[in-house]
Amino acid sequence: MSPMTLSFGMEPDMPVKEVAIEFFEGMKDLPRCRKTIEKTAAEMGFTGKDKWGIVSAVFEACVNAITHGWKTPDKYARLTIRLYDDRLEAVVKDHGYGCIPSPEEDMPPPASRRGRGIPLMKKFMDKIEFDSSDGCKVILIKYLHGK
Amino acid sequence: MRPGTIVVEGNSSEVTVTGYGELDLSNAGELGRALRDASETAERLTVDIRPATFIDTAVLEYIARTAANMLNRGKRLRVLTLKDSHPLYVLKTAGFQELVDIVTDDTVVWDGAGYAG
Repeated sequence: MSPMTLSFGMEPDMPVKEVAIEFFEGMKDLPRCRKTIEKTAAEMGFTGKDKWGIVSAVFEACVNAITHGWKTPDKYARLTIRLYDDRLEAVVKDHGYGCIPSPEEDMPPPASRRGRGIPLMKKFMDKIEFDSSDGCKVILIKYLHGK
Repeated sequence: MRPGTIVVEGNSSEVTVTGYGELDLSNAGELGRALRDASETAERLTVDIRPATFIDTAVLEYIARTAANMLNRGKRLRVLTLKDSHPLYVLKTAGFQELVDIVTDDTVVWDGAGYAG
């Protein structure tokens, strides 16, 4: 797995940078996935808890994509991070079956064993969208403060 | 110490399970097994994640299971973290301060290769 980086111009609301990773090796890709998320978030100026939150949220989405997407014959799972002038946008896509959480999905009680991934994504990011029209696509957005 | 390394120290009554580096679904199984075994008999159980630089929800799940085991035996799990760290931020965001005793201790710092005083 090697991240692909494409740079774009500074047109309005066009990404100034794009980084993409395909998960060819499943769980073995996770350490490099995490490092790529952290490096890209830091490059945009996110620090401290904002950066930790982005890493956790996007990482959880990638784990879900590998866990569910790898159950399909093509084992497709991909992370794309786009940096805009005012925000970081991460798109995690797989060919698994369905990923729309219930609207009321909140953080479970601490004693619960599972079900924290999506609630944590919601807490750490400014905006999350789910699209199950073609496999599963999760879009996670974090704005830079003051933008 | 390699990331994902788990060290278990102590005796039958007091056990500390220490996790190093980045702990996630891909390498935290050993942590889960160590915590499960210790929580069945230990009078006092501490999970030391001061040397951990990252934890994911798989680690939260193991801590939740262990805390439940300890609570069933009338005891509380102690979690040791650094004050300004990713693991502490995730634990608090998930509300774990209600479930476990979180103790922050910066007196020992892990430099990535081992504990440095």
